[in-house]
Amino acid sequence: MCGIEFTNNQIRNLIARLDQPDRVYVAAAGPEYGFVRAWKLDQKKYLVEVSCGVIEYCEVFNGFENPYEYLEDPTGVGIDDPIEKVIRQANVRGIDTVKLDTSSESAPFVVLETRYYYGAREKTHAVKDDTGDIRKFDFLSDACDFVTLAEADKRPLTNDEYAEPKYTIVSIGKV
Amino acid sequence: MNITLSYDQIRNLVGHLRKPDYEFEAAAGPEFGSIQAWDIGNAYLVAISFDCKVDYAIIERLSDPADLIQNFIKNDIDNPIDRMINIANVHGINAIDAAINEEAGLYAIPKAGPYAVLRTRYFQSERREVTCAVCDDAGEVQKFTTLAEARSFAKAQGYLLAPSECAKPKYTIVSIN
Repeated sequence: MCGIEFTNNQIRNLIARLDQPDRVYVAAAGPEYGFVRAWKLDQKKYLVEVSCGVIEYCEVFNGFENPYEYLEDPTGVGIDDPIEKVIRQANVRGIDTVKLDTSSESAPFVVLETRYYYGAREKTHAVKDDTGDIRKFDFLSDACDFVTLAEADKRPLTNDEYAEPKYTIVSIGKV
Repeated sequence: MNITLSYDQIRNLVGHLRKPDYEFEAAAGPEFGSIQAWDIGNAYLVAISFDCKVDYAIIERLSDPADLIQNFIKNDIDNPIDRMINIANVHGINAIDAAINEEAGLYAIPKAGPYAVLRTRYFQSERREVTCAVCDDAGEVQKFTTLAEARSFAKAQGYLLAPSECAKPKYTIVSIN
């Protein structure tokens, strides 16, 4: 292609000088968790800045089918751990996109806690046991009992929380 | 990983860029040439406007960014008069190695002849346009054998200001020896 070659640092400096992007996608957990900013280059291509925790990069993307994929899988090599995968999905697209398929659920089950903060941020993590490991339930009924107890336990909200936490049961086998 | 952008893509991106870090105009005005430069770390992204088109380039950092205007100095001009006119239109008439003849209100170069006379016209917006003051019917520069002839010609020039001119023209005698 006839044009000018930029180093990655030069592109980063250039992006710092750009005004409002043509498209912005922010993770449900907030911009600190991840965001995608895109400037249209031509009919098909975008100059894209992806920021996802410690991973930041700039690229020219051909088309822009599903920008949230870049935040769900920032390394582009896939996520093997099913729990991490569903947590990333919840933090990027929102907990409402995570559903438990009760018709064909299979153990073990994990309970996700979503906490709602001002600034339209919802952060999701897996509930852990006393040893700090993710708590897994062999039966759906046990997970439901845990959620019932957790919802009944009205702990005070922190300053920046605006709503009660929400609990979502996921089947790891189905993720 | 390096990223290559086409000129059309850069043009679209430049439309999104905030105010440039540096802007320079040729003495003869932005129609003659202008440069916008954005600092991108170890280099400048520059938009060079001339002849009704815009080129883009990455230029390494200069100690004095004003030197970016040097891009309009053409090095491939053989004719010394045209070369001087090019320099004058980029940097201004004073950039030509001229000594001021205060008595006549003219610039003069104390070198051997033959001589040519350049005319600088002063337009609004501080635009100064330099052309050859006199050419023959074939468009060739008229040469004066002696300095006195050239001065006499320059002094004899009357002037009517165009609506966009802000001052009467000045004449610069240059040696083309």
